[in-house]
Amino acid sequence: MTREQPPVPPFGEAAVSRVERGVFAALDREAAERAAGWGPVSRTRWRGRAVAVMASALAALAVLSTRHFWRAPGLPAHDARIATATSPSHLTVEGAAIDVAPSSAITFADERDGATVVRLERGTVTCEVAPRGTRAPFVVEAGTTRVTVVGTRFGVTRVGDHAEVWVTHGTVEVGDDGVTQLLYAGERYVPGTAGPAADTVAREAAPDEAPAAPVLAVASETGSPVASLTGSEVAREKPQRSAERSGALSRPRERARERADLASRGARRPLSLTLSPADGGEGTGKTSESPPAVAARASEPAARASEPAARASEPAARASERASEPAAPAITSAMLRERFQSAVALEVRDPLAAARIYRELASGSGPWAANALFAEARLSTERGQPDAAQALLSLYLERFPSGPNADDARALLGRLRGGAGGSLR
Amino acid sequence: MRSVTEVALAPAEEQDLARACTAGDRAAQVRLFRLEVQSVHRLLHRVLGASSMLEDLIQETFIRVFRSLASFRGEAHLGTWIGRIALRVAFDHLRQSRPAAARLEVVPDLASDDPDAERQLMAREGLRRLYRILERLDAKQRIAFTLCAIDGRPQQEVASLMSASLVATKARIWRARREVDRLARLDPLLESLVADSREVAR
Repeated sequence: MTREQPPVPPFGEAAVSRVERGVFAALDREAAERAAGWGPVSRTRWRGRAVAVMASALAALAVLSTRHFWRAPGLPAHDARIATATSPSHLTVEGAAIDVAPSSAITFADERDGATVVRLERGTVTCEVAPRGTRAPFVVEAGTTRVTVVGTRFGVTRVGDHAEVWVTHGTVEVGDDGVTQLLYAGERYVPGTAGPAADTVAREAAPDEAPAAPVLAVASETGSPVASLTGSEVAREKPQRSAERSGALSRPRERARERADLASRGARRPLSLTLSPADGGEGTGKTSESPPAVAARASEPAARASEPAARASEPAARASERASEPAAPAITSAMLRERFQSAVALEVRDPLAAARIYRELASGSGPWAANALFAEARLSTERGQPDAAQALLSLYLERFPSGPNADDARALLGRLRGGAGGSLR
Repeated sequence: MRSVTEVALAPAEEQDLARACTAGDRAAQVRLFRLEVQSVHRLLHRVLGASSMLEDLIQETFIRVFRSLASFRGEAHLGTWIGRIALRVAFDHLRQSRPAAARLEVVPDLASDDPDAERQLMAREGLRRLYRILERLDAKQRIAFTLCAIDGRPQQEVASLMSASLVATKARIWRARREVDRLARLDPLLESLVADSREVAR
C-alpha cells in the first residue's frame, strides 16, 4: 500500500537454530524410515494413514477417558496392598502384568507425576511391563532405591534400606539417595560397594558387612539374586484375607489371556523383583549380604559351604526359573520408530532423556540402532560434550562402517578431532 | 529475496550445492539452509504478516525443499526456486486457515509526543489492520498483492514467483487492491493510510 516497505523483524539465531533442528530431525526421520524399508508415502496412502491415525487417537482418547472414571474389576486401587501367603497372585495394572509370588507383599502407592508406583515390601514379584511409550512411567520402589522402567526386563533385590538392581534387557534408571544412574543390559547396581568393577567388588565384599552409604557401582551380571524368605513374615498374613483384599487372584486361563494381550501390545520379557524381608528391619537379619556376595559365599571353602542347602541352591533355581520364562515378543520397526521419534521430540525440552532413549535404541541392532547411535553422538556434540561425541562416533563407525550416516560421522569426527568442536551443522 | 549481506552463489555453485544436498551431504544441506533461511523468513513475513506460525512454515518450506531438490534443474536461481516453494507453503497455509472476522479497534494511546513516534505507531497499527483485511482475500490474490504492494516487487517477478502468467497476476493484484480499498473504507485509520498511499503513488 505504501511505497516505503514495512520493516521485517529479524529472524534471530535462536529461532534459526530451532527451525534448523526441526528440519534436519525431520530429514533424519525420513532417512531412517527409508533405511527401515518404508518408501515415501504417496498422497493417497497418506490420507489412508491419516484416517487410521485419527481413528487410533480417538480410540486411545476413549480408553483414557474411560480409565479415568472406571477401573476394571481386578485392578487394585492405588494405596491397595497385596500380600500372599502360600498361593501366588496375579494382577494387571497400568500395562503391566504382575505376578506376586507366595509369601510376598506389594503396595500401590499414590501416583506421583502420573507414575504407577509399586512398592515391594517383601518377597518376589515378576512383572511383564509393556513399553511405556506415552504412558506414565512404571516405577518400582524398594527401600530408598527407586527403579524407573524405561522399557526393559530387570530385577530388584532389597538390601537393607537400599536395593540391588540388575538389568537383563534394555535400560532402567536407578535413583538412590539423590544419585541417579542409568543401567543397561548386563549391568548391575550394587549399593554399599565402592569402585567401578562390581563383579570384582562384589566378590571382595565381606559377606557380613553392613551396606555402606550408597555408592553406585555397575557390574556385569554374575551372581544370582537372593530370593530367600523367612517364615516369620509369611505367618503374619492370612492367605484368604490377603486374597480377598487384593481382589486380584485370577485363573490360569485369564492369566494366559492377559499375557497374550500384553504380548500383543509389545510387552517385553518379565522383570523379577525380589526383596529379602530380613533387611527391611523386620526379618531375621540373615540375608543382608548382596546377591553376588551370596554367590561368592557359595564357592567358598567347606566351612561356609555348610550353610543350608536350600540357600546354596537358590541361584540355580532362579536361573532355571528365568529360563522357563516366556520368550520376548518381537519388537517391531514401528515401535522402534515411535521410540526414536519420541527422542527427537525430547531433544530440545529434555536432552538427557533423549540421549537415554537413543542409547537404549543403540543397544539393539538394525537401522534404528545406527540412527540412534549417530543421533546420540550429534546430540552430545550439540551439548558441548566433544569427548563423548567422539567416542560415540568412533563406535558408530566401528559398528556401522557403511551406515546411512557414516560419511557424516567421519566428517564430524574429523572436525571434533581437529578441535573445531561445535555443532554438526 | 536476498539481502545485501548474503552472498549469492553463481549458477554452477548452486547446481553443485543442490547436487550435494540431494546426495545427503549434511554440511551442504546446512549451508543451503543458512544461506536461504532469512530470505524465506522475509518472504513469508511479507505475505502472512506477523504470525506465530512463521517458524513452522519456514521449517515446512525447507523440508519440502530438501525433499524435492532432486528436481531442481537450475532454470531459475536457487533462491527463486526456494521462494516458489515458500509461497506454495504460504498458499497451503492460507487455504487451510479460517479468515478472522474483521473488527474495528481503538488505536492505543501514544507514550510519547514525538510526531515520528506517532507516525510509526499509526503505520504499525495500520499494517496490522491491513493484514487482518488481507485474511479475507483469496489466497492467490493475497500473495500477489502482498508481494507487489507491500514487498514492492515488480509484477513480472511476482508472476514468476507464483508460476503464473503476467496477465493473471495483474488481475489478481487489481482485484485484491479493489477489495482492500473497499474494506479499508470501513476503517478510518486504514482509509487515511490508503488515501496517503494513493497520493504517493500519483
